[in-house]
Amino acid sequence: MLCQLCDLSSASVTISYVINDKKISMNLCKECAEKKGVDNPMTTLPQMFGNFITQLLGEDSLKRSKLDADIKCDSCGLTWDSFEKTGLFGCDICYQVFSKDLNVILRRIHGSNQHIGNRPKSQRYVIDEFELKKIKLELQAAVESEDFELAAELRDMVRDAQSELNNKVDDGILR
Amino acid sequence: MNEIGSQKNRIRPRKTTDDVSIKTVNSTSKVNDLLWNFGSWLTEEDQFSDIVISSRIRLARNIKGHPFPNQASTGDLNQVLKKVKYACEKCHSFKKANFIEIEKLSEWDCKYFVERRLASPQFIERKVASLLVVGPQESLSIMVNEEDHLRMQCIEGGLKISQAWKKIKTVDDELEENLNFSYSRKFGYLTACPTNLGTGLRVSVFVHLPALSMQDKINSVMETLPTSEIAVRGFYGEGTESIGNIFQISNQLTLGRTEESVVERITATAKKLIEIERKARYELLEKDSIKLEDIVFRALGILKNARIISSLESMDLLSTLRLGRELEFLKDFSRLAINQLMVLVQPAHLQKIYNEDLTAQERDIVRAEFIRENLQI
Repeated sequence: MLCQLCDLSSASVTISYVINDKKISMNLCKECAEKKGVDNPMTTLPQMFGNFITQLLGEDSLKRSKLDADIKCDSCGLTWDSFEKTGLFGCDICYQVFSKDLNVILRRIHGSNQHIGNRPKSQRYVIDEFELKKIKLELQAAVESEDFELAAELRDMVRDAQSELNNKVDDGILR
Repeated sequence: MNEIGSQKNRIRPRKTTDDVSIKTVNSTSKVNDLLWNFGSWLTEEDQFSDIVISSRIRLARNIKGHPFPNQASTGDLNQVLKKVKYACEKCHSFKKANFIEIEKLSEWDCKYFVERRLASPQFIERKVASLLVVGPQESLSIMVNEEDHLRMQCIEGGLKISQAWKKIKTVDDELEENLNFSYSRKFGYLTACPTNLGTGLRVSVFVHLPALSMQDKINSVMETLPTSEIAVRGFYGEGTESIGNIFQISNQLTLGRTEESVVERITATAKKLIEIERKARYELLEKDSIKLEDIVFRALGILKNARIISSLESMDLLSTLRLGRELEFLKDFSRLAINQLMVLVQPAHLQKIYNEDLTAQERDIVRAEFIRENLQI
């Protein structure tokens, strides 16, 4: 088997990676494997597997994404096609421009498409107890009407506010 | 065992002091100063250091309004660099930091930072507008303009994930005073690659598992870890054996998980591996102590007598030596000195120690000499 990168030497190293139970792999010759830095702990996934996005997408979504190949981010000029090749977005705006296919990819990679972790200080809420009660009611209503996007946002607000109220001192960790 | 390099090369396993304050490092002599100040991950240990070499936490961040490095022009990259440098200078954690411009370094100096785990191979390749910020004791550092605008990391010796997390979170908050990070309520911190999206957090633990390797149990043990959550990487050389029996355990997922849950998860996984490896070491001792002792002393024999040795072979033998030290066959050896030696025998480090442009063959000779000098009891 020839090296998938240089197409010249015979492949002697197989790198495989499991993302969310889906195995992707690549066969490389020794030189290309070294160049890629496969033995270095800091080498990241896209640096190793440029095209891993294509491997991650199923047949159906791949066909659909072919139609989107020419969609371009006006802000940085990146096309969907080049994203598939490199696995890298070009700027913040790409996340809006390519949002259609992004949900599939994020679910494949992370099994989720909603951030629940830490956030910048400027995005943390300060709410008093009265307001908190009000938001909790709104949250309940949002859950009942199945407006999950709003519910997620309200839940974050409740969580932040509660953490603030519990600690009084903001330690920055959102629980 | 002598303190490392007690002879001609003035290498000692010494603790760093915080009083080194170099503003911009762009000459080889300054890089040489850093060479002998081992980072805290090579000078500090805890009760898990028999197995855990180091813990590393990395956060990926980008600055709003600037294209990510892969789509950025040199002008964009320089603007980002300026902003990050300013923010670092204002940041308490980087008060005594070294600012290292990759562009101005020699090839070997660049490689040295890779071996020191402060830079990635891709980072030193681009060079243009690449800045490495290294805090005191190499514990906190930032690669500016790697795959993302900022890749901050904290490395500590032993199993200190939560301490490392606290440190890096403080840096994150401090930098945010002067930097506007790309963030979305839905996706979290925006990163060039969607595999880092959300928290941008990668938690890694480097574990030394020689007994499990000897028992051929590495694969079966690793298979019990949930592959959807946890990635295992061995560092492979030409064969299928991992280099020095060191494995990297890290989290896979960054979206839909809180930082704390990831920290807890990796800590728990590391503790489980520690328990299994300790048990395997005990089993080996029980079953065939003399055989194990033989393996350890043979490794020592080669290291103390070889005249030519590759970096791969030395890593493997040092790994055996490390096991021998933990099993108390080699009581006079210091664990930290062995860890430091594992770093020092790598090509760029040797190149810097001997301060000559050596060929690979010449390096194998000086490596053997260097190890012999440092293993004299």
